[in-house]
Amino acid sequence: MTTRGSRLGLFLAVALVVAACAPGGAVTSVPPPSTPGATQTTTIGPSTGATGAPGSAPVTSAQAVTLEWFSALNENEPYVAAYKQIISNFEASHPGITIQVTWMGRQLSTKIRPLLQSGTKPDIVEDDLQIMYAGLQKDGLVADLTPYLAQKDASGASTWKDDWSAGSLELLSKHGELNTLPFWVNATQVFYDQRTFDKNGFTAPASWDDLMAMCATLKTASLPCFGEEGGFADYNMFWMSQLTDRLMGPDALLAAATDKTGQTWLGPGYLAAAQKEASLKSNGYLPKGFEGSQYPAAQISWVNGKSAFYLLSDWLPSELVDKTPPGFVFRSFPFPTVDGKGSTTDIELFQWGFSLFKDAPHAEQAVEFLKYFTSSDAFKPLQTDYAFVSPLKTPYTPKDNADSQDNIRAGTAVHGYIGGLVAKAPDYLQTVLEPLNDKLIFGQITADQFITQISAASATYWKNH
Amino acid sequence: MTRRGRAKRRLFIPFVLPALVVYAVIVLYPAFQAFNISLFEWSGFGQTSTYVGLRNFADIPTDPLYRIALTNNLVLFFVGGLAVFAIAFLAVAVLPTLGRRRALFRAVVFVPQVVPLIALSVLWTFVYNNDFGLLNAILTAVGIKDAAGTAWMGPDTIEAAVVAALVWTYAGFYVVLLMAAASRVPLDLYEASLLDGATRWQTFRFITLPLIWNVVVIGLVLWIIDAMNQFDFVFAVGSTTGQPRQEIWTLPIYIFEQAFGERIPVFRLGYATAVAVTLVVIITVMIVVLRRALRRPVVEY
Repeated sequence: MTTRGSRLGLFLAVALVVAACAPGGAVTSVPPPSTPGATQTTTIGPSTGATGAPGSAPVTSAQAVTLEWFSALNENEPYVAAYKQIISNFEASHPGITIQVTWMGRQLSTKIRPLLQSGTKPDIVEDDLQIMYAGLQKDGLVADLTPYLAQKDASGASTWKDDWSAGSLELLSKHGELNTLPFWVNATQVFYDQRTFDKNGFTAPASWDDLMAMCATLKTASLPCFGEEGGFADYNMFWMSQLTDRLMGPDALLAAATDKTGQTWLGPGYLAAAQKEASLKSNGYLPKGFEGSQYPAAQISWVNGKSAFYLLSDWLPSELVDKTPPGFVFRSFPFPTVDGKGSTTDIELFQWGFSLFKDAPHAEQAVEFLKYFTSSDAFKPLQTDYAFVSPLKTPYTPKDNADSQDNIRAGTAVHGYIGGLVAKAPDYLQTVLEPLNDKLIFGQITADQFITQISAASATYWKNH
Repeated sequence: MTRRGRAKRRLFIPFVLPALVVYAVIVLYPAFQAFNISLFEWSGFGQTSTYVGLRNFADIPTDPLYRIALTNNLVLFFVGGLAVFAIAFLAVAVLPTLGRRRALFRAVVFVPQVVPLIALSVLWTFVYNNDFGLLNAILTAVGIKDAAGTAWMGPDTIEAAVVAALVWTYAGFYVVLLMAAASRVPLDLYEASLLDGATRWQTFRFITLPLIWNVVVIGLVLWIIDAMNQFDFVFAVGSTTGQPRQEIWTLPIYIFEQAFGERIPVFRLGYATAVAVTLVVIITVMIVVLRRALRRPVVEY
């Protein structure tokens, strides 16, 4: 190869690298927020904007619009069939409004940003509310829904706000504004098959010690007590979240995580929580090889009887709706009290719902659709067929999740998923706490080592952030 | 320079210019804009960004996750590279003995290259599954009873498991690359070496390797890019939930997790872009050093 050829080769190689590494876009080249949405298909009458209190005039076929809805669901998730039925029913009863759903999956945050920066504006976005809070809501991109909630609901018989159980919207309200409409709530529960209880003469445990006694019984029958998706750090965190909640109250994990000195972790309650979490493996209550289990392998193994209990949020029956063997009876109980402390009515809640974009091209029609979606009759199949527990005041019992619904309705205190860290300290959770929590539950470090290391790592993290 | 040489040089510019313009618009401009973003603190959602100068870069040396991710990249490069090129060289060394089976061999080793990486990664998650995985089933079937339930994707073995899968996936490309180069070596050179009593190793060392050296160097450059930019395969084989274990994070995965995340909404686009800029620099330096270190006089044949 000649010298020129050599240099050209080097140049091309560097070019390849640059091309592969460079994210597109630029801070200074983005359009202003008021740029009309590129996906707008038809211009309809004057919009009152998302912050006003518009009426919900019916749309005629002459004013046909397409509502753009970005969903964080994957199209192959079982309950999407019910979504499609709701959409189809709405379109049939509202000629002129077409719903265009983009099933973005959990990568919604990844996919939506370039779209927003290029001027595209959907009308509706649907996601985990903590993720929406940390992204769209924090940056002021979604509308205040309070004025709409004062309107009549889809039936016209009551105020839309009253379609939700008391307190469920207030919980999400910030500074008098409400940016998200929850319709699917998930409480952390311990799931089991009723047949396991019948076979062993178990009743729902009142305390951690009772639960461990049940595990000891199951161990004699060579049945691992808990299924555990070890390869999924969020799921491993449920133990720490629940144990700290019961031992020290709903805000204990958040308090330790956000203590910039790291000293809070040195309190005795955190050590006790770590010891109990570590005991799961040391006592042989987790399946062999759980450390390498990748979603959804462990929950499928569990539903097929390879372990007795499964600690997870109540989306579990929804995800397993088409994988449950005949005869399996879903039951669940709240995480029990620990060392006589805590309350089973402290609920760890994961919420899922809608937001409306501030500059939604078809805000009025979007609200009309949301009213329809959240009406009892439209929402029914998601509850009766797909086990959705909802804050909506519907008369229906969620299939396979009646226990969880009862637990949520009995709740006296609520805290966010994984202690609220997903919204309030996401980077800390991902880069500091979860790696050490994984080591703890895998038995790579002892409870004492966990406390020492998390305290030091927290102080270092907050010093650098 | 001769008149003909000057004419050739004059022709070079108009021929290359269109490509350079396209390259500048779709590669260089975004790359410079990426550097611009790295000087800001920005979530990537709204229009509000805060200029922080070089602070994002200053944070990198004290970032333990950056070190973990870079180390993993280097492990992929060195350990994976050693295995990939060992397989490729072995294939080249035995090439002359394969006769008509050469084409079949090439086709077989190249198969992973024509299957989408995501499909391969799903395949490997089934191979490594602790409960019903193929690997544990085979080990159990051959009498290693303790293998049942082994967590190949657990913290102790996940990196080795991913490197092994990556080598299997990528080796075919490098085998074919080097075999194609070796197949151009005139057969009479091999025949002469046989007559002279050269061993197979000597034939490879003193005939094949010098004559395919340029292709080897190009292969190494491509491997630097493959290993240091490794995202999709490791991301997909390491997790079905968009949150692979940190034991296998590479710098591109770290960039993704910081910029976008999937389940954990970190949204530090400015910092993530700063990490991306350092990755470009690292890869560039590696390529320059490698090419200089491996520069040899060209052997014409």
